[in-house]
Amino acid sequence: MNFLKNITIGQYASGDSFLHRMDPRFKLVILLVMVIQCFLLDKWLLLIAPFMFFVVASFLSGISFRFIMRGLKPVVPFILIAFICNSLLTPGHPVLMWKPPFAFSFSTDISGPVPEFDFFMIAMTAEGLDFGFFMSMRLIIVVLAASLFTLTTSPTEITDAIESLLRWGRPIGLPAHEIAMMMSIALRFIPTLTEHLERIVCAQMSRGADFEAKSIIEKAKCFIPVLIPLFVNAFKTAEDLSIAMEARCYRGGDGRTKLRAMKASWRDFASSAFVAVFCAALNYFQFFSRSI
Amino acid sequence: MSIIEINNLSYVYMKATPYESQASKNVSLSVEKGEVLAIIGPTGCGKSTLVKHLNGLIKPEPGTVIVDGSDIGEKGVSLKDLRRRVGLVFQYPEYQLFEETVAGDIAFGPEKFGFSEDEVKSAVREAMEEMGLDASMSKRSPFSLSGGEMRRVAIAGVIASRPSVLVLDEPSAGLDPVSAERLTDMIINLNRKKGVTVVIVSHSMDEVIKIADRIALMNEGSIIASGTPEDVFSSEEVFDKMRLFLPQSCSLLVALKERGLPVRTNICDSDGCVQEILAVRSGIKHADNGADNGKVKK
Ligand SMILES: Nc1ncnc2c1ncn2[C@@H]1O[C@H](COP(=O)(O)OP(=O)(O)OP(=O)(O)O)[C@@H](O)[C@H]1O
Ligand SMILES: [Mg+2]
Repeated sequence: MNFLKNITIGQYASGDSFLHRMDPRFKLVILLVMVIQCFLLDKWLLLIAPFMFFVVASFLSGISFRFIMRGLKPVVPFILIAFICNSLLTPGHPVLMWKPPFAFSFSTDISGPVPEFDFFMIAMTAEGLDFGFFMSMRLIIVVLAASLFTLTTSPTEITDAIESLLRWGRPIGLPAHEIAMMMSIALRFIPTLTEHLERIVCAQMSRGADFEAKSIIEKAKCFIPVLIPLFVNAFKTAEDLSIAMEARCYRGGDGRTKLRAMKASWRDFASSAFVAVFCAALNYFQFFSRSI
Repeated sequence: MSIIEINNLSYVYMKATPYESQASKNVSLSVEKGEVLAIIGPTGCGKSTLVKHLNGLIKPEPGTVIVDGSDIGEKGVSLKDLRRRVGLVFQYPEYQLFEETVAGDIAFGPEKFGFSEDEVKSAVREAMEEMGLDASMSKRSPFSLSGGEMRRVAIAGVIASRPSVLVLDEPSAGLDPVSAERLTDMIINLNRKKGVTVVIVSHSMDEVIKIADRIALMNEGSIIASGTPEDVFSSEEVFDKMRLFLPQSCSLLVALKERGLPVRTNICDSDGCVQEILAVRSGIKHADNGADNGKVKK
């Protein structure tokens, strides 16, 4: 019963690598910049560069590549669906088509005029394949980047980074500390909840609950004995937590100091400089390739 | 005849990840029909993991678990049927209650296992009686009960399915001594009167001594000793590793022996312990009467 534990997205793997030692604020900004950059590129060939960037980064994380890849597993269905839908639904030159009474047929003619849309034909178009490929690459890169970030940055660091970045919004009334505290508590609760969930599922299974039931109604019924104890537990834990916080005189972020102050080092400046050059080069290249 | 047989069972949590942890290592154990087997060992030694195997909640890799002659890892063996025959009470089972009424919650198991309506009713009544729950309680909400009562309702919910083996993971943890003792008595009763085979995980040595026919001692995922309480507690090897685990009576005898008194250390229950000390003391008195200034020993 540890199906819930196989999800590596959002998990933290402690270590002492280059990526682990970077300042979380820089990591977060670099992550955002790279993701935005990926969305600015419009050719899948160009996307290979950021992909390689993150592959190299994952070697710098000291975490086994296989482990990181396993984290991508849950998004594979989404990627496949996005790919198939895009390749079928984009208008353009059909390359692989199927018209109900006939068999499959191929076509390599992708330069002529776009043929009329045939309502009874299911066809993958050249443009669709291109676009589908592009979308999948983008998704893979974003997921890889996000999981690299969470794998090498502990939840505390993440919220510290967010709090410190949100502080720029304080003048316009953004409650930076409160948002960060809420996030860190929410993150902190995920493992607790999955643990409870797993225990409750096990307990109800040994009392005869059948989670592999066929009909949807039967399945829905099975959730009641799981969800009720889960909520009861969650409320109890939340109440305990608030009491514990009050008992330690928690009263918001004003005047609060940090045990571990974040400090930028050569790693952060070096990687930021590299990312700046990298993005500039990519944009230049894209602009250049468009103009010819 | 053994009702449960575990052979060379190992289990690793989160295999092939940085969080890998081996919870059982090559465990072999058998449970005889009608006996009370206690599993003891320090925190995190893999007791709860072992217990989950008995219910097919995790798959042994490698190793086999044989219940009533059928290997539960095999295809075609109904896990649901297994779970009816082997009732499992989890650590802190009060967190699994969910129904609106106590009776409804206890009826969940029997209903799922396909008891008829009348059977469910009588099973619930019987289970409540067995666990010392008053009939007036059956219409109350389980969330309005005290922790100890909730615990008993949860256990009743498991025995209501009339399992032939009852597995309990630290049933008395966190209960006051009186409730703990009452619970132990109820479990003994189930075993003696209904012939239910009991496997109990416990941290209370005094409870174990009172209830168990046989003990299996675990450490770091493997079973390091098993046998009658006397055998287990008097073996040298166990001693070196698990000093703090001895029941109080045993550690007293051991301490006396270390100071040079000729006591036997393979006695576990407190009555036997008192007898032994008295016997040895009178023995020393007789010997001291000969020499005038006999050494006084505590
Ligand atoms: N769901 C899980 N995921 C990963 N590791 C686990 C999980 N459950 C238990 N472990 C690990 O397996 C080992 C054995 O745990 P187990 O719960 O079986 O111990 P235990 O003997 O029941 O301890 P206790 O007396 O505290 O209940 C521990 O080292 C624990 O960290
Ligand atoms: Mg346990």
